[in-house]
Amino acid sequence: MDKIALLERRVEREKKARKQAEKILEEKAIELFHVNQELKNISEKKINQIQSKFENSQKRYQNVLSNLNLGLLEQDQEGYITKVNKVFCEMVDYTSEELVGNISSNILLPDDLTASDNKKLIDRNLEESKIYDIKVMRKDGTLIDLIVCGAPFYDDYGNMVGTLDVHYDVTKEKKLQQELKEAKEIAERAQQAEKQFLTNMSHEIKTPLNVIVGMSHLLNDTKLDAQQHEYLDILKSSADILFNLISEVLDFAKIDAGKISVVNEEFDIVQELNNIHKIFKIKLENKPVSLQTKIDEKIQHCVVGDKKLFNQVIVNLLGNASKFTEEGSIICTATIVHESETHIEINFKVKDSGIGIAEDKLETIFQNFEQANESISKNYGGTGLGLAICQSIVEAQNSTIKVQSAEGLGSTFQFNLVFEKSERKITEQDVFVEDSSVNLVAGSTILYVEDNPLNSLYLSRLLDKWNLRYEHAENGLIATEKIAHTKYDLILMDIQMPVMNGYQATKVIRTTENPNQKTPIAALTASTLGNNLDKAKDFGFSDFLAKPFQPPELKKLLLKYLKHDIADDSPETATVQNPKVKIQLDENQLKQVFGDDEEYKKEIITMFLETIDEQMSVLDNLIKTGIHDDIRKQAHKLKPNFSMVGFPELTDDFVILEKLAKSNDTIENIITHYSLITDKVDQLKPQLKSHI
Amino acid sequence: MKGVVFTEFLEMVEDTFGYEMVDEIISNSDLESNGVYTSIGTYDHKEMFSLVSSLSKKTEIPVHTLLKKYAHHLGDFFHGNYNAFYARAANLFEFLESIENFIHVEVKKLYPDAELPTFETRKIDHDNIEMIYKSTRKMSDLAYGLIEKSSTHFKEPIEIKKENIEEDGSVVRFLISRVDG
Ligand code: HEM
Repeated sequence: MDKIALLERRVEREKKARKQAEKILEEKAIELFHVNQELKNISEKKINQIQSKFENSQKRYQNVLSNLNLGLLEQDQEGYITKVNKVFCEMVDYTSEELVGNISSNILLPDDLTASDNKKLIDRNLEESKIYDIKVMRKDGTLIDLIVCGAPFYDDYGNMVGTLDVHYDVTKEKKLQQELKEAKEIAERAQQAEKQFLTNMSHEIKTPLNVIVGMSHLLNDTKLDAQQHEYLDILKSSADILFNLISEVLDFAKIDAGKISVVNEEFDIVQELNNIHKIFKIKLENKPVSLQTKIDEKIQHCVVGDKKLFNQVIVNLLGNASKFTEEGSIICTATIVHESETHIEINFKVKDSGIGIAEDKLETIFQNFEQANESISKNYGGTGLGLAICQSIVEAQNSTIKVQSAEGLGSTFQFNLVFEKSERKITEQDVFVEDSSVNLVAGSTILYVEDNPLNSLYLSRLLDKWNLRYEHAENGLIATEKIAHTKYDLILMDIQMPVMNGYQATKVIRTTENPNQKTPIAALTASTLGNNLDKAKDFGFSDFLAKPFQPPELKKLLLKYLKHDIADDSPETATVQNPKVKIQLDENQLKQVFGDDEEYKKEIITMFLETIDEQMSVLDNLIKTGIHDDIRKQAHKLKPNFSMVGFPELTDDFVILEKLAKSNDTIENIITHYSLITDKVDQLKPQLKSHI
Repeated sequence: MKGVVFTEFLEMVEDTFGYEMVDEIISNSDLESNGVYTSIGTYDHKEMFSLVSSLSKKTEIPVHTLLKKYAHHLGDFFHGNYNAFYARAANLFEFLESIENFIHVEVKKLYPDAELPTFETRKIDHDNIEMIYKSTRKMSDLAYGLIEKSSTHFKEPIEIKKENIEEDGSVVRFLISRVDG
């Protein structure tokens, strides 16, 4: 009974507990419902907020797009336009209704657009974004240039459904670009024309200038008083300056056009430098400026190189040096840097004690038309092209001109050139032809073919002066008639002539049967540019003479082809080659050796002077016998003595002699070096005698 | 006080003494709830004391012993139903530290009407930790038993020193020391 009552109570409690629990659960459920409701409201609000934010940003984005003037076009896979924006409509001048539903390429691409342009559109179907430019036709048929960025777009399942193209109108830019290009072309053509004009004018000027130069030379030979001579000198030097200016302009036109070509020929570089030396010696006669040309004695062979270009550079550098040096010295040196069996590298240096160049100007002096300052062109003249031309020439031979200078302290220009060595040895003596010293053998007859009366006058006067027989033809045709009858010893042929020019006449002379088929013909030409012996020979010429020429130049040519009496020539020995090397007693050296012990010094020097002649004659004999080892021993024995008596330089020379002998060098080389030593020994003797 | 504390208590009484004892102590206590409890309900915590003192009278077991015993039961219940709280602690001390910082915080989130004690837990050194129990319900014996039970769960033997800071037992200091073994 108790048990049942207990269980009943328990069940009753459990039931109540369940109801209680159910009530709590229902309350909780209602609570949950309300919370959920609230949550929903919140999220709806949030979503609306987000959406409007999104719309705002989209609107903003679209605003940006339309402000940027970007035209948007959507099209489906087949190319049917599905959507366009206002900007795009404005670009092509269609309404949105006119565009949508049409195939884009039909309505927007001009029919005659090449397939390649359409290909760009087709390519776009590849599923990647691309940027390209394209020509699009507006409603009125005009074409505009657009840059297009096309990108595929996809449906919710990731399938590509079409492309979205962004267009930017670049018609204006394209037009501007085109105009710019055309303007540039016009400017370049104008520049080219200007250059051509300059070249032509220079040629034109050269011919009358030739006459001025020539006539002034003839005038020089007439009886003139001192005043007239002075005027004539001025006239001549002015003509020279003008001639140089024109040459520079011509060279520049050539170099600027990149036409600089190195024509290699064998030439005697020592002789060239000696010749240049003589020219400048004369130029500098009226200035207190000493000119020295020091050529490395070891240069024994002719070289293969471009003689003309080499000349031009050295002449230009020396020209500058003489222009800018009022007093002091100009030194031109050529020193071997390196020599092998086949090649020789020589350093050329032109050093002056002139006005120098300010440091900040050093960099620009090699630029076209640059002179160190504007007052230079006022005071010294010149085109400012010289150094630029020189640099281009040296650069064309894989080198550069370097300059060292300081304002007021003179300038040094130098460059190295590598030449191939030729077999031929340099000429030891230079025949310098003095105008009066040559007698051309009478009896030679010359034909000169020249249309210009002034030039003709000049030529005939010169030939008269030299007592030469000549005939004159006014053009090529007359010349061809003359040569059929008379045998000439030399024909001087102008190139540009009316009726028949020099080329044609020469061709006739060479190719037809006549007594002058083998007669030397020299071309007289005003164009220094085409001045190339090989080319002249191609046309049948034997030689050429550049106009304007100076009497000695013509004479040189005549001497080359006409018989003349060499015996009467008075050759002038080149004093420049192997110049006497001056040596000087080194007092410091003596001090080092003897201190203040005058007695001892005297004793040693006296002994040296007593024995030196005998010692040298031993060496002399050994060299004549040519036994290397004996020479070496004697040189070795002698070498320290010279340092003892204050001539360390000679000790060095003996070291070299010793080396030459030891390395079994040729006897010629040894003799060359030896003669330098004997030269110096002769000099040191009197110096030592006077010292004690 | 949450219903679960009552239902678990009565379950323990039933398990140990049979339903007659449950019936007895409910009948002998003056309870507002009439002894009807559901784990999701909330009841006055004083009913808990009435039930425990009735049980003590009936069984002649002191109240604090009963509370500790109940705490052991409750500890197992927690361990069974809220195991995640144990699993996230690397050792016993970490677990004890997490009661105030984490466990009871989570409890409060689930049951905003839960009445929970506060613990100021301070680790003294590697082997000693101090817990200061504060509660107007003064159930530090329950805490004692729960700490004991946790020690068995973590298999880290400890020694517990308990001292009242407030005479009435509303603030109690526990010093828990690890015992090697
Ligand atoms: C997973 C572990 C635990 C859970 C889920 C948990 C949960 C609870 C819950 C639900 C209450 C009842 C609150 C109310 O009815 O208003 C409570 C109270 C209590 N808990 Fe915990 N607890 C845990 C661990 C512990 C431990 C280890 C201790 C020992 C230090 C502890 C000490 C207490 C005490 C003493 C009370 C009684 C209320 C008071 O004294 O104010 N609890 N706990």
